[in-house]
Order: sequence, then structure tokens, then C-alpha cells
Amino acid sequence: MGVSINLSKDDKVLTIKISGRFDFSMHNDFRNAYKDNNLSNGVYVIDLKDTEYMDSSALGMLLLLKEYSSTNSSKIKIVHASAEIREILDIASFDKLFLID
Amino acid sequence: MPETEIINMKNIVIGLILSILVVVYAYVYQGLKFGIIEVAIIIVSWLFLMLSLVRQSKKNQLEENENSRKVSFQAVKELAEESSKQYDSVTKELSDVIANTNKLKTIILDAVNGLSSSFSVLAQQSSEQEAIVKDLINVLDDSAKNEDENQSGFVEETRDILEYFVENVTEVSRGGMTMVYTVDDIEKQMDDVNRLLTDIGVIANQTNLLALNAAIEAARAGEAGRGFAVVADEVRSLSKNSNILNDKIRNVVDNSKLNIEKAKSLVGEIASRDMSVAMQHKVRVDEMLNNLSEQDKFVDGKLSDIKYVTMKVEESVSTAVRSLQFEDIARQLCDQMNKHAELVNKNMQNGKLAIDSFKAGDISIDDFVGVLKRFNEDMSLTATQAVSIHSTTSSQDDMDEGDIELF
Repeated sequence: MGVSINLSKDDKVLTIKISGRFDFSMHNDFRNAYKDNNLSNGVYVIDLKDTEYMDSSALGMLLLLKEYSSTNSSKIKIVHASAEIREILDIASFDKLFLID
Repeated sequence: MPETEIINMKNIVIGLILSILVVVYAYVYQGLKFGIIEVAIIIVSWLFLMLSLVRQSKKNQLEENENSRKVSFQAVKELAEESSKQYDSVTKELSDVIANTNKLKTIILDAVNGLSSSFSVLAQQSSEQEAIVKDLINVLDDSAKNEDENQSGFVEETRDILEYFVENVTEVSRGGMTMVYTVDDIEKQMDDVNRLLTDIGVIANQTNLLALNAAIEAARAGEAGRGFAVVADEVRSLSKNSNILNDKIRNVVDNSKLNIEKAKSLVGEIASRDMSVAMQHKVRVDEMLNNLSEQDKFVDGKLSDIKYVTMKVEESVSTAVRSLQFEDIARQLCDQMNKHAELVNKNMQNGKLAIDSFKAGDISIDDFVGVLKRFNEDMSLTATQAVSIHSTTSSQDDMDEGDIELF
């Protein structure tokens, strides 16, 4: 449960993995995950493999990450989303804003 | 035994006795030596004997012929009688056949007239029905199109609303989270303020200590330090006031932190919206779109079914009307049957006339045979005519080849 972080050795890929519910309770950990590790021209990988639930605050957090990533010219990639989570991302047209695998 | 045979027997006996007498005479008087006269007598007597035998057998044959002639003439007469009766019955049956054929013609004509009039009505009603169905199909098509437009318009609207709703929710969440993060920053700044206040408190306490030291030094200086002691007192009270102020500020900051915390959780609540409602609506919209296209398919299918059935009814009516042409063929067949029967009847009547003449003794048996031969020829000629009559009608047997003729 929570947010786990993994930064690649070349400081280019920051993997943020969210386990359990991706909701408002995650807001500090999620923000700290990218604020504490500076990337430049890198990729933020949001791993939703163990994410069971997602609400609109998670969508808001992802949008804020997008705003933040534009300040350091990095990209965002959302991976391993379940069918239900994928549906939520599709409804919000996130497939037009993010790379979703 | 007939008289002629007795005479013949007598001749044979005379011939035999004469021959024996000649042989005995030759034996007794000449020692079995036969002269020309003796041989001639024997030969003549035997010739006479054979001649009478031949005459006898010829006569017998003639008699037999005469007898058998009598018998066969009688049989022919009986046969002629029998034939005459049968000719009568055949003629009667043929008349019945002709009458029945005419009745059949009438029945078929009546039935066909009834059938054709009802099929004409059916054809008319079928085309009327087709027109109605076509109208109905057009109306249904139009209303289906309108309904489709209405429904698809509604679905489009719903989809737009849903998109707008989701966009709004996402935007609110984004704004809310921005606010939350800002408030987080403010909270941290509040902590900074608290730390600064602590620093100020330390300075105030140090000021207080300094003022205390100054007061002590002023007391030690005596009268000369009295003025300074007043200043030191004022500084002490200033540092105490400063501490009081510091505490008040700390209180305000702490209260602010509580309020900010409340605001944060409120904003967090606003930002946290369950997306499952939107998902359910999206599923509903997709279902509606599916249902719409399925309904379209269903209606289209049924409409083409109706068109097909109407077409089939028309075809069947046409086939039925065409099939009614059998009356024409049946009528021709009846006519030809009658013609044939009349021919046969005529032949029969000729035959009967000949028989009657023969019975009455007007014509000889030889003439009668000639008449019978002609009768047979006429009958086989009639059979040939019947074959040609049949071949002309059989060419019309296939009604499908004929043109459609409405009665």
C-alpha cells in the first residue's frame, strides 16, 4: 500500500508505483516522489500494476505531474493499468495527454 | 349306315368276287396261267373298285363341308346377333361418354370461371395490399429514420454531457490538488513562522537577562545608576511584552494551521470524485448505441421480409392465374374425345347396319365379310385419327410455356 519509487542509475527514468487505492490519501507521497528526485529530459513511469482504485483526485495529481514535467522537459508513461483503470483514463481522454501502455 | 355306303360296299364285294372267280378259273382250267383277258378283267374290276372308293370319299368330304358350312353359318348368325347387342350397348355407352364429357366441360368451365374471378380479385387485392405495405414501409422507414435521428441525437447529447462532466470533474480535481499543494506549502511556511517565533522568544529571553544584568549593575552604581535602572526595567518589560506578543502570534499561527488543515481536507473532498458513475454512464451510452443499431437491423430485416412475402404472393397468384389455362386445354381434350367417340359411334352404326342386313338375309355372307373388313379398316383409320388428334393437343400440355391470359 502506498507509493514506491525507483530511480534508474542514469537519473533518466523515475518509476512511481502506486499500490492499493490511488486517491487523495496519496497526494503527499505522490508529490514528494517527483519533487524529491529531479529529472531532466527523462521519463516518469507511473506503474499502476497494483492499483485497485482510482478517483478524480488521482487524475488531478497526474495532470499536475504533467504540468511539472513540462518544466524539466520530461515525458510521462502510464503502464500496467487494469481494464477498469484504463476505462477511467479513457473517459478522461488521458490517452490524448499521456502515453498509456 | 347311309345308302351310298351300302352301294359302295356292294361294288367292292362284286369287284372282289369277280377277281377271285378269274383267279379260280385260271387255276382250274389253265394251271395258274393268266392270259391278257384274265389280267385285264382283274385290273378293270380293281379300277372299278377304287373308283367307287374315291367317289365315296369325295362324296363324304362334300357332305362334311356342307355340314360344317351349315354349322359355321349358324355360329356367324349367333355372333352377329351377339355383336348387334354389344354394338347397341357400346353405342349407348359412347353416347353416355359424350354426354359426360359435355357435362365435364360445363363443370370445368364453371369451376374455372369461379376460380379465375376469385384469383382476379386475389391478384387485385394482392396488388392493393402491396401498395398498402409499400406505403407502410415508407412511413415506417421515415419514422424509423426520424426516431434514429432523435435517438442518436439524444445519445450524442448524452455523450457530450458525459464528456463535459468528466472534463469538469478532472479540471476541478486538478484545481483542487493545486490548491492542496499550495496549502501544503503554506503549512510548511507556517512551521517556518513558528520556528522564527521561537527564535524571537530566545532573543526576548536574552534581552530580559541583559536587562536584569543592567538593573543589577545600576543598583551597584548607586545614585548615579538610578536613571539607568529605569531604562533597564523598561527593557525587561519590553522583552516580557515581546514574549506575550510572541505567544499570541503563535496562537494565531496554530489556529491558522488548524483552519488550513480543515480547508485542505475540504478541498481534498471536492477533488476526490468517484469516477464509477461516469463509467456507468459511458457503459449505458455504449449500450444505447448498440441497441439503436440492433433495432435498425431488426426493422430493416422485417421490412425486407414483408417485401419478400408480398413478392411471393404476387408470384403465386400469377402462377395460379396461368395455371387456370388448363380449362382451355381440357375443353379441347373434351371436344376431341367427343369427336373420337362420334367417329367410333358412326363406325359402330355402319357395322350394325351390315349385321342387321345380314340377319335379315339381305346380303350374302361374302358381302357381309366384305362389310366387316371395311368396318375393321374404318376402325383402324379412326384409331390413327385419334392418335393425330392426341398429338395436336399434347403439344399444349405444358401450360407454363403459354402466355399469361387473364380470364
